[in-house]
Amino acid sequence: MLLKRGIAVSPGVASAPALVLGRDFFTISRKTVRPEAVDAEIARFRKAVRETCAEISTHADDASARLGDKYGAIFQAHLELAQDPLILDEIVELISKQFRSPEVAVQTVLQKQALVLESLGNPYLKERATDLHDLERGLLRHLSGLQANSPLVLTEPVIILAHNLTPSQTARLDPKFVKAFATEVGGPTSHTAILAGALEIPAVVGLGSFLHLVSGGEMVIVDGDDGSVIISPDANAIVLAEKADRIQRSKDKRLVRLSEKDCYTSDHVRVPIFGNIEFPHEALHCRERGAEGIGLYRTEFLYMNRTDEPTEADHYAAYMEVVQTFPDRPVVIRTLDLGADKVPGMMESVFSDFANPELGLRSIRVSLHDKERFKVQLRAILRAAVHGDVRIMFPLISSLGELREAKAVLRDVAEDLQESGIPHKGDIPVGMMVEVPSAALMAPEFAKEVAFFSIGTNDLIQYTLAADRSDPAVARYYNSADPAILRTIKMVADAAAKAKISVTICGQMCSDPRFVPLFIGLGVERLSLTPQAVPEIKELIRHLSTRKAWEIAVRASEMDLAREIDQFLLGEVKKLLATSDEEE
Amino acid sequence: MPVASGPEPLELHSSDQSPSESLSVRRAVLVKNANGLHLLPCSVIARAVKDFPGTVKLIRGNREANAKSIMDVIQLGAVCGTELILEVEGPGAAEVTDRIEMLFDDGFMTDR
Repeated sequence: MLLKRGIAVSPGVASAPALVLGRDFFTISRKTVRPEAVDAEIARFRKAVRETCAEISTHADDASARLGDKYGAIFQAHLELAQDPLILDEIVELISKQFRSPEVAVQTVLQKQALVLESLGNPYLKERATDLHDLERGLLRHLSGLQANSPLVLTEPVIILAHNLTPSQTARLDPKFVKAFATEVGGPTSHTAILAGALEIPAVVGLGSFLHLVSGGEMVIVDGDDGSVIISPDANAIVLAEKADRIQRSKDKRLVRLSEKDCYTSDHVRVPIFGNIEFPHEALHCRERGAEGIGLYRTEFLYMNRTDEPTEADHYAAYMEVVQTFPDRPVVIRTLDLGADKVPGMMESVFSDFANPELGLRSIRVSLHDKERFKVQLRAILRAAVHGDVRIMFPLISSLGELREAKAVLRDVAEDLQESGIPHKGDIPVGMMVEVPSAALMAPEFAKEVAFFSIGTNDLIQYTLAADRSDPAVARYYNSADPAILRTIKMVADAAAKAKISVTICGQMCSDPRFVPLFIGLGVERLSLTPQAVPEIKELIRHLSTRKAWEIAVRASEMDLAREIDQFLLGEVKKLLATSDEEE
Repeated sequence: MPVASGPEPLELHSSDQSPSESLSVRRAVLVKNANGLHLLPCSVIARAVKDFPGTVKLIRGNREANAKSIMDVIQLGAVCGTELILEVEGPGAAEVTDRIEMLFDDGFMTDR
């Protein structure tokens, strides 16, 4: 029995056999090599090339024997490609002259070459970019020293163990058989966490290195409440896990019953609670848990589990599913927030330069960079708006000019629809995410030009504190309770109040009970959370008075250390929950 | 089928020199297979010249490609009908030139 502790990011307890996802899912963490290690690294790379070639040869023989020489020829071509001097020399040069790690060099060169093929304008060659991606994956896998993974066809329940999961990989897993996630890296706002929430399965991330201790098939217990993962548990632990699972489920039922009513504080101030969703079917989860609409629909997930570009019809169908679930409640559709850690396969060419993705071409910048793709989405939103209370929200706005540009595109689209006589609603409320410090600083000006603000705490924290949220090395700098974050949120809430527009918080932070009284005290009037947190947060707010919330906010604002604020908020929320438990 | 380069009949066996001893051969070759120089033809060329110790270049206009590199040759973007200059340097250059020309003439035996 082996016990590991990590960060609990999605509640519940599950036990099932382990399935270890291969290291070809890995993101690359080590980017450079020491000059004195160059020769050893090149030797490691050459060995990976030899092993990749040997593997391709096996495939070639196999394919020729089973399917004929014509198919074998394709693998023969792959074999030549794997030995292509242009590619190999460039990779070796990156390692020896620029001290890139072999992994980074392989990615850089093969992605560049794939881009070249795609840009030649010959559809036949464009398809061949896939062959380079295959080669890239093969080399990366051999560099990591692991064998090929068979395709992920699940037939029985498993718990997925991995170094890290990207959104597209997570989205491709069949939720029917996936009982929980446990990953070596990641934090509370990693996409493994967000998606585990969406799939409503337990997840623990940030466990540190442990995969080398697991061979797959062992029984694993993932406790998404206390953050523990037990590998090969003894009989006693399994019994306890099953009991915990039952308790959790019954508690959920009780909260869900209470959650059907609208949400008021103990002194009768209305605090609407909305749900965050990634996929249209989650709108139903939100409604079942008492959410009063959708506060954040992350539409980019429409791009994440497919290989072709979604059409306007695809967008429209997805939005309609959500709107029909909440026909008379607000549905806030956020336009595409692609890039950084969310890069769909069919758009890899857009994001060729990985130098600094969090500060690079992502989110609204991608939409404004390629307005045709943007317009497809906007058309679908305005068309779906006819059937409900749809609002549109632009992500990652950093300047007034950018906001005006996005609004101008929206106006164009409305005019086009008008001219073509297509039913649509052109005058829907337009809001923006406040998640870049520049937008927070300019909030009074922005408030004159939008119908609402929504504070995205995940990015706001990362940009305000200059700590990449996906980089575990700086995890301790990514601190939700930092006084600078509190002050920024207050600035935005004040600007919204002055301009009489609404302000919502939609980041992971407001699914965490300890921050909820603080937000309400700071003047935030509505919250948007992961669906499964809705019942718990509603319950908490029922036991909170606005006066108490205000006191908590004032006290917290006087503190100057994140640790101090964190401790204080935790103590306050414990007191609140204790009073709520007494009433039962 | 698009034809990329000049339509006039080309002198396809231009500057051939006395065989076997010659160290440098230049010859025009014509892409005849339907899909042009994509992955499979390029891999056939690369395989044919891999063990040749000299240099083999395919030239289109002012762009040269190392025939041993699939990626380099693919980037010539040669479609059916494109004329390329084949330049081979090294011992036995003439034989290598003949072998490659034959591959071009046979359409690399790969296209469907």
